[in-house]
Amino acid sequence: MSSIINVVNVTKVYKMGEAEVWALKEVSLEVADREFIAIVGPSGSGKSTLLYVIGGLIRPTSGKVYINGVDITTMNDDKLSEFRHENIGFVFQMYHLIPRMTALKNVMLPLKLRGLSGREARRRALEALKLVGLEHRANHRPTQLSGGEQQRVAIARAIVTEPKIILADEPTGNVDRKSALQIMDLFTRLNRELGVTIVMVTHNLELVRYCRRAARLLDGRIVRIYTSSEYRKLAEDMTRGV
Amino acid sequence: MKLVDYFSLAFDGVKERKGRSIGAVIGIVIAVVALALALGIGEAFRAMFYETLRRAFGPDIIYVMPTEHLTESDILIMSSLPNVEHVIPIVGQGVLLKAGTFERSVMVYGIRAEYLKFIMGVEDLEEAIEEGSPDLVGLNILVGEYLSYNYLTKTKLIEIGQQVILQGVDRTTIAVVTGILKASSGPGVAFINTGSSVFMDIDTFFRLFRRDMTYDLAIVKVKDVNRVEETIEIIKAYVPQAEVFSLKFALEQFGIFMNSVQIFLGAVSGIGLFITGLWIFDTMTINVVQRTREIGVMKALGFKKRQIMFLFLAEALVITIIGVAIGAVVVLGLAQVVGIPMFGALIKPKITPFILLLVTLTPIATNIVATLAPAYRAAKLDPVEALRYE
Repeated sequence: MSSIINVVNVTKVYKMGEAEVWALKEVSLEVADREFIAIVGPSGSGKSTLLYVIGGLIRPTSGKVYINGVDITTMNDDKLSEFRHENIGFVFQMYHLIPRMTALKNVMLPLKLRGLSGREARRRALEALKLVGLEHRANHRPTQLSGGEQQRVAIARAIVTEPKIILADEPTGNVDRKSALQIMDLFTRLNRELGVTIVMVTHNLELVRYCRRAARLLDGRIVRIYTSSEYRKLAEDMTRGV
Repeated sequence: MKLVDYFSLAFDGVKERKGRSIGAVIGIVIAVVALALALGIGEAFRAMFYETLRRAFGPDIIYVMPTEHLTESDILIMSSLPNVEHVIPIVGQGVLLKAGTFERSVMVYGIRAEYLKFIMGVEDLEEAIEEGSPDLVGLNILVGEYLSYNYLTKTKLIEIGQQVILQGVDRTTIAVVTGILKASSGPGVAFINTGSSVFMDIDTFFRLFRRDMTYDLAIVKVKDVNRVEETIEIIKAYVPQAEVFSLKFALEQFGIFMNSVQIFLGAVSGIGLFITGLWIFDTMTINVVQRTREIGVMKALGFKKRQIMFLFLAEALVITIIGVAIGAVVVLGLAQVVGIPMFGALIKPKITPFILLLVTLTPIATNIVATLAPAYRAAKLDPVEALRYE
């Protein structure tokens, strides 16, 4: 299988006054097309930073990030925004829906950005909401939805532009267990049926079983990549912190 | 992204912050109304005074105003100059008019009868006579309508044939009223208020009030209006001690004066716009802070910096357009009812298309400038920091 994401020797250093904080240290990671991969690790290990570097929201201090063979680290801000819009969908722990908009309008937003007509954007947004099982909640505002429903609307917003990649940052971190499993089932369907590559940051090892591989970060480095048959070992390593 | 979608998103944003948005709209309405009415009053004054100047001057008239006096020889010289049809010398004196128990300070003018019709703006002097006859010889005088009749008590103050006393500084005389002159609206030629003045034969006037036989003013009527400027230059050469000017010059000078007045009025009322701009700046700054995470989401979705900037500018534009639209309606309504009483009439603001355009574009420009900094700050936000903003 060809790789759709290729992270090569990426380092990210934050300057805090005189001090330097190394969020990522020469991280390399290759993600295959249509793969569902988890990035795990303790808080502050650099999981989210790696996710945002892949998504072009954070520019690495050094190293390269190739998406579909295109080096996104050399793109200017506008090009990167366009590229992100075309290729990547984000799902955040806190959903980040726009509170004044209905579920439908939230999902329509990326399509409006694409310049689609109101009717076409509405049709596609309703399709996306149907896919996540929320078409009946289309006209509800985020405050009228449960956490799990809000996250499913956020997923609909992420997939409505039919991106090749979904980057999910702790997507179940703010929902109950039942909703978390629903969301994971949804991701699995998107991955298997629509062929969307999913990179998911999580600290919940129960969810890793949905993924084919899991990359474990510790202190800004990928210490090991585990296959699905090695998840028991992953759990042991995580517990021991090695 | 389509323009309509920017404004649709902007309108949603404005609706979400109803309180601040309504406050900003009210501020803009007040600023627009204040600016439009100030400029409209200025414009009304300009129009009224232009009309007065036109009535007083006429395109074929040149005014010659000496620093001291004009002599008979000056008048004769001017009369002989090319393009001069005739010269009307005018001389006046403030006196106390006494008619029985009625007393009033008035201007008495010495003028030849054939020129009075010109001052009155009629072809035949008979047309300007309300009552009596236009005989202007000896101690006969013609008095303005407002002197002869009290409109409040509806009583006659001066009768035809009545003897009145004209008490000057050095000389007092008795004159006979032979005619009442019709009042014209506003000051007429040479700014003489004919309705409240007294006219007498010029030779009698010289004998009584101006023994040096000099004039205060001369009005030159030209034959060819296209050569007015050239004639002015010639008169200046022959009468260097006088200010010589025409309608064009007066209008130019008055225009410069009125422009200054309007700029001043506009600047004073423009303070309202400045304060509105500050309010918009404040509103949009708070807006950006409150929507920091939303901006992060938009960036993650692929919004470019300029698109985010334009979203905030569109929001300021929506607020401003609502304010300007309401303000324009209020202005057009108020312009029909408010005014400043002057010369016995109510001077109502004159809201021209230019004023409407100005009070539309100025708040838009001001508020866009006021929004630039917060909008730029929004566009420059780091997406990840914005997403993590609490």
